[in-house]
Amino acid sequence: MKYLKVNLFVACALFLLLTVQCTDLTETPYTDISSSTYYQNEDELEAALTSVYNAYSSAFGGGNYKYNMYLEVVTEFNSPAYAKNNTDKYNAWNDINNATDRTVKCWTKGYAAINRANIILVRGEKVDMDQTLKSQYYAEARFLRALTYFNMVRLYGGLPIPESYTQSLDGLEIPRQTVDATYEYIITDLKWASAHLPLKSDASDVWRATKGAAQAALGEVYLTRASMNDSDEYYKLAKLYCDSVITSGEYSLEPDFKDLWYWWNTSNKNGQESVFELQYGSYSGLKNNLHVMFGLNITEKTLGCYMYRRFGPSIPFYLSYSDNDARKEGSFVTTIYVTNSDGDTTNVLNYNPEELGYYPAASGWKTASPGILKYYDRSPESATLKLPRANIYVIRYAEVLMNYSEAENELNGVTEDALSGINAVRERAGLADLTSSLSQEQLADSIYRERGWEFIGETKLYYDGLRTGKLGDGVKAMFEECKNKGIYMYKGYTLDFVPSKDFLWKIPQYDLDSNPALEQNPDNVSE
Amino acid sequence: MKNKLLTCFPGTESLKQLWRIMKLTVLVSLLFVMSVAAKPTYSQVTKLSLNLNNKTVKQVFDRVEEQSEFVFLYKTEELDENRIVSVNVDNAPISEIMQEVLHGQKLSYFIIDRQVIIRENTPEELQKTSSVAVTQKGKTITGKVTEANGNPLPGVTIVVKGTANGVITDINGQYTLSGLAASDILAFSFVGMKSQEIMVAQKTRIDIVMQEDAIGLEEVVAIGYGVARKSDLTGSITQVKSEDLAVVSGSNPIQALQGRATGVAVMTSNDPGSSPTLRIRGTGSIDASNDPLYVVDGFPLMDGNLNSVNPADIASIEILKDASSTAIYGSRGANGVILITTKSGKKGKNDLSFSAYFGIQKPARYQDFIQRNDFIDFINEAYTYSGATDVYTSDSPAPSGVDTNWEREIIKSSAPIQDYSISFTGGTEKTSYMLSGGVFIQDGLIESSGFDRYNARVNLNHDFNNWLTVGTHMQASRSERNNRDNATGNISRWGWPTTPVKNSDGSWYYASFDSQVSSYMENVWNPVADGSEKKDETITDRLTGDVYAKISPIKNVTIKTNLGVDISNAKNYQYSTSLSAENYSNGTGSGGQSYFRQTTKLTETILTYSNIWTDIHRLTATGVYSYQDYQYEKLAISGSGFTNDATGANDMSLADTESIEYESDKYSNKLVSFTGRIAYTLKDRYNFTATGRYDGSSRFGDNNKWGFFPSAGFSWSASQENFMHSLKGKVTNLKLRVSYGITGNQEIGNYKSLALMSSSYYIYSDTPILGFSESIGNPDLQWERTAQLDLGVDISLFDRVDVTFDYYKRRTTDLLYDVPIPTTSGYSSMLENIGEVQNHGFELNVHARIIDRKDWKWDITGNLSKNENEISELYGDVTEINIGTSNNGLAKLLKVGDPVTAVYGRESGGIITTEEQLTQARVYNSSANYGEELYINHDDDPTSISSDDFICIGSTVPEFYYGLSTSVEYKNFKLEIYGQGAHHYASMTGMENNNYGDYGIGYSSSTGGLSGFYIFGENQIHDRIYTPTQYAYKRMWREGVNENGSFPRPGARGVYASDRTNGDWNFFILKNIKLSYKFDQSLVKWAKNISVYMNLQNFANSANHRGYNPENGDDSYPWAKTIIWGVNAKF
Repeated sequence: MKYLKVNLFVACALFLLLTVQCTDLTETPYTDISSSTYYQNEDELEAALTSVYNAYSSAFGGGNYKYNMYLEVVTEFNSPAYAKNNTDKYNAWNDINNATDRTVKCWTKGYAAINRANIILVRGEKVDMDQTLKSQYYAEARFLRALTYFNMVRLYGGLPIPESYTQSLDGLEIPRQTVDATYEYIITDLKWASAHLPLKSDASDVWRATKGAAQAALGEVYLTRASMNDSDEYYKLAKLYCDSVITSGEYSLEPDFKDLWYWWNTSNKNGQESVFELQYGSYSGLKNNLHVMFGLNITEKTLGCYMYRRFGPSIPFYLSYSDNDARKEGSFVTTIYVTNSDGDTTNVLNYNPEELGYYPAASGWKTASPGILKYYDRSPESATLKLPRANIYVIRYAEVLMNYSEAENELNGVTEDALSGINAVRERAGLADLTSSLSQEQLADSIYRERGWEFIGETKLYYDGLRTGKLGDGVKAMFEECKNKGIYMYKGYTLDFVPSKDFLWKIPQYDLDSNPALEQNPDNVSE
Repeated sequence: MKNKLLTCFPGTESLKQLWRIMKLTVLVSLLFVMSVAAKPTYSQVTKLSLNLNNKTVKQVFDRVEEQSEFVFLYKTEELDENRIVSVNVDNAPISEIMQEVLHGQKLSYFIIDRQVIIRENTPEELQKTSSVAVTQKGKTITGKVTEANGNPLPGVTIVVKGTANGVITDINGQYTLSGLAASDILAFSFVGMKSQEIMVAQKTRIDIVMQEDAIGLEEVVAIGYGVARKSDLTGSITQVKSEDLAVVSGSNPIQALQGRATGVAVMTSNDPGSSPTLRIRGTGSIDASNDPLYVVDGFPLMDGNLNSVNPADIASIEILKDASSTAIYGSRGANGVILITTKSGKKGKNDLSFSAYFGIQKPARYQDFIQRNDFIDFINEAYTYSGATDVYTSDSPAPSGVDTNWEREIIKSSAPIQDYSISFTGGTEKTSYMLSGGVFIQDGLIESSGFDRYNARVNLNHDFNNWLTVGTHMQASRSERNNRDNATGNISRWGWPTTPVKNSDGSWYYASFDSQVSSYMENVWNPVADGSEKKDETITDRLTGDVYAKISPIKNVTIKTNLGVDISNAKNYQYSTSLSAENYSNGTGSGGQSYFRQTTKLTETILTYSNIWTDIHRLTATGVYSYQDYQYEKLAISGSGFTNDATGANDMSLADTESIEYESDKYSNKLVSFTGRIAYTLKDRYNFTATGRYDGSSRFGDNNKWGFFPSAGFSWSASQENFMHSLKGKVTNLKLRVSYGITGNQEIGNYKSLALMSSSYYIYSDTPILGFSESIGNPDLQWERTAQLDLGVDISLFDRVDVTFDYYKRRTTDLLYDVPIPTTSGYSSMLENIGEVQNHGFELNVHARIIDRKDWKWDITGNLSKNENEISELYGDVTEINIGTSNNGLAKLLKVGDPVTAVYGRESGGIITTEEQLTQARVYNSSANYGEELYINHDDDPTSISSDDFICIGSTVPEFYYGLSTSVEYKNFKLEIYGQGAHHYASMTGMENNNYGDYGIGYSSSTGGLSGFYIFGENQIHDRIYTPTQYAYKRMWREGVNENGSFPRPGARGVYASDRTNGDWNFFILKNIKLSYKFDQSLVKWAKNISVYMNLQNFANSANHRGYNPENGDDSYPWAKTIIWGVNAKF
């Protein structure tokens, strides 16, 4: 009997002991690293810098098709290709003061890039590494930060500028700076970057930002400042920085326009005309989704990955190309060969502008416009892997030349210098040179039209139209013409608003809600 | 009871508990029959200490009964209970006590196991029969007492009313009672059964069928870490028993709760193997989970997937709803708790049970799209109206003779469902067991979809010695699910009746390669082809089990420790052949494999003290320590470019190397808890429960790892009060309940409080460059807290009508929500604890036994639940958050004052049929026309209808939901009918869910994400010309044909989802009509009982929309009605 009791109480004790097992609640993640122990060396700082490129690409490249789409489709050069994502309404500048539905969707992603750049600049201070290399990393971060602010200041006006990266929820309610202060900040960054970035030919990895890229960006920033303020001082600086790029000898136009595009030439990424280029590849998360979103609304293996439709050239603009302009064939897909599983062509679809954008057209064409091929990857891998990988030009040399011509024309009128840039671009397209018989204003108009033919689909034209004040008239004229011709996408719509130079997008309501210090832009009021 | 002459009342608490738990049938007979074999006997082992001076004999016996399991049986005419004796023994056997008590009396005693029988007769005489005949004069009656199912019932006490004459039935339920007069009345009684009284009259044989006491005052319910008498409960717990579960045939036991339990909304999908969505008392959370906690045999599951549990193994499901009940699960109790108890063996009652059913599922609802001729008219008219040209002309006619009914091509006309379960239950005095095996096979109504399950279960309980009990629950299962996503969802979009399923050469037809129609078809589509060209199979092996040991170191105290694991290994295999729709254009196959492993480890120690003092006080105190951890691992590989379909994705090396993608993941979390509960009942009428749980979770911020969740409940059984005695027989039960408490919700995902580095790649020259970016953490992250008040009343009238009514108010604060933070920070949101959501509502359940006779019974049960949900606070000054606005016209907003589950959209002003409407519409849309839809302006700007004009068109959670069931029994026939419905809710159908992602905000509180292309087709939503249903086509506004149409004209522009299309939905489904027949035992002697049934499931439904699922309009998978034939047998 005694043994029984002993057993019993031993058992009880054991049971209760089990209770004192574990109260430790620490969990160490298996697949993530703690930020407090990161940033130990040069490699880790470089990896953090890589994420800034990623963020920029997510905000303004293949990761955010809406940025490109919304800015292209509001110009006179483009039209919606299909009534999806309300592109039809954008076309008519409809409901433009709506801060919820009608935004460009890049504010949040832009600030993610800025914060990541700030992380490099602050966290980098404690990293023990080669100073020259550290300066280069800083310069790359500041270059990307400046580009981000530059895009955003043109869309939204003066911006909040955080002083450091975000470490806690304290002090996040940052008010907006003035437009001037924002530009000062951008210019300081770019100047510092251009001083610390290597020349293109020195760059170990050609995808990285270079001195030329920073100077080209400065040229564009000053050109924007100049045309917004009509300031000779700024035109001079714009010309100066464009000239630095031109005289560096690092860049030249591709002799054949087609060689710029992956559709035509898959082995010419980061070519001689590339000043700064976003890189894509056949990996999920690193693909260029613009192929899909600006596609031809078809799944056809000779066109690569499947495609949806969003926008394409407006019919009047498409018809404005001269027939011998190499860029007409070079930029658009107007014929589709439909193949069967054996690869035999079973049907040929041809785009015909005379069908006035009705889709599906009698010819079988599936959208209201041709396809802009600048981001298409029609390789067989694209069809099987569904990961299109064309790159995106952020700055290409042709734009530097055009900027140079514009700045010079504004400063000194139709000089040889002023004609040199635009004529180089025209020559490459197979068009005759412009001559000095043009007036200054005519040359300015020519440069604007030339930009349309050259840069359609590259998210450039909206900015150029706005700063030069030509966008409003262009949109109005195109809308009239389309209405008169009875073009499908314009049926039932009226142009709701005509933008002027001072047009600003609404800051997304979501961002205003989260930051009481943020002031919304005033409503844009139609005349 | 004890003053009765023959006392047969169990002596100790544990025995009492056992009786209640098992709805005992056998115990008393065991005492007689089995004691012979049990050595050493209880009477030899048991030692008692008594120190009683000048007490009555009865008091001594009472004390012995309290301390031990002994029971005294005697006749008061032979033994003077009130004789004063003194007994002083220390650690002595019962024989010593009996000698003291009976000293000097002409009585002898005899012990059979725990029964002490005191008689004038000699023990030898007594032993001659197990039926103790008490007197031997006059008339003799024999008979047999059985249970409702025909099984003999031993141990039933039969007393001649008003006399000392009595007897107990033997192991075969037989009894003989002599010395009776015709005027004598026999009273039959048995614990847990209704007592019956029968007059002897001229009868010589009286057979009795004992009925379970349906009022259930002594019923026992699981309450988490223990059981309680239903009469002692202070909280709101709904119990659904196996009989009710068995009425529904399906893969998942939760399906059977639909319409059965008040306050519980169950949304089911007919897709085989999918889990139903379940909400208890509304939606409390915005971003965190709203799913309840599932606990199977005390094991809290880390996921709510009960597909691995065989419904036939379940003894009961308890739904814990109020805080008094759920607080025992602390940080996991806020959404309610579902306790599942599987069957266990009963001592001395060996049963082999077999059940099987076979059923045929047939499509219950067709959308019935328009066919060839109507379609050609429609599509031409639609495209012409929208500005394009006729699709089919005399030059380009539709292919002759093609009139494909895609809906009927894709949906099979029938599919079998079958289930076989076998179980062995039983036990000896020391060991009870339950062994079961089951096979469930369900084919889907869509080719290559289906769900099979194989499972085995062992439940064992063994009394190792008189202070140690050990046992186990062990379940192993394999489930195989073949999945087909959205096979039917695009019929209205691409399923033109003018296109065939196959080409003339027998190959699959894909419209996008047919030049005549390819321009209308964006995607390659042919679900019939995919039925044979695509495979998506998940095989899950799951082992859930625990081993426990329970010791009783001292009287009234038990300590139970269990160790459990729940391991689930799943493999998913997917392959699409080169001929499938997705691969047809590039001519190679694609696919992959994924492995998932989930492991939960659990250890718990439960300390219970339970005592009863003289029927006045009842106290149970429980303390629990528990530790549970969870780990998830995943490894997946996929690729494309398989040139040979024969090997599929089994040989990944045959995929195009460049296409190979892989993914791995791993995370874990743990929860440590200390829990206490005290339940106290005074005089059977005042019940108090107090519960507290102290929980620590690894998921939360460093500053808030631990939380305390208290609750208290009180109930008053007023019907026990003296002043209610005048109503005795009328109000048989009246109980008032009140409870209040706080529970939590920890389902927020893992590592959400930590600041981490995540990979963020860039690429150059097709080589990825690894980068890292950082996030910010929130060290203050903590639980959502739900404070809940519950007021309830249980009433039983005339033993015939039971009414349960509950009113509740749930206030959920500290909601886990991705609060937008200034995005200039580089981050758009941070998971924080903000705001408040309230749910309040009532639940009413009425059950009436309208007819309750031997051959003829009629029961009706009805329940009604109403829940109102409201966001009462967001964060800061924010009163409205837009989560997403779909292009199709619906929006999800979080708005203070509106439900979390509210849907917003345009307010329809009707189809434009009058000039007045047209003028109104042209204010905002200059090109508006007759036959299109008018929308009402709500903001200051009449020139546009935008999201500012949206109104709340309702909540996705119904305003009311209800269940009705009735059962009629006539002789051997039983008919059970049960229906379920909901009234007034808004649908999310047609809301594209991909628009929520812009700011990384998910939306977890709805049944959303439905494609609903039929809604587009019927209503030409967002200028989409999709095939309408016949229903809609007949009603479409058409110029010169139907100018009073209630649906937009073919090709109408500017039509959006609105209150017209998505508001005010309702449904009713007749879930079951089940007719069963039980064979007379006289006919089937070889079985204990055997019954057969036929069940018509979902045979009638009504809904005011045409989506397949009458509940939510989902059109991605067909809804089935099923005819089932089944058999249940027990041997």
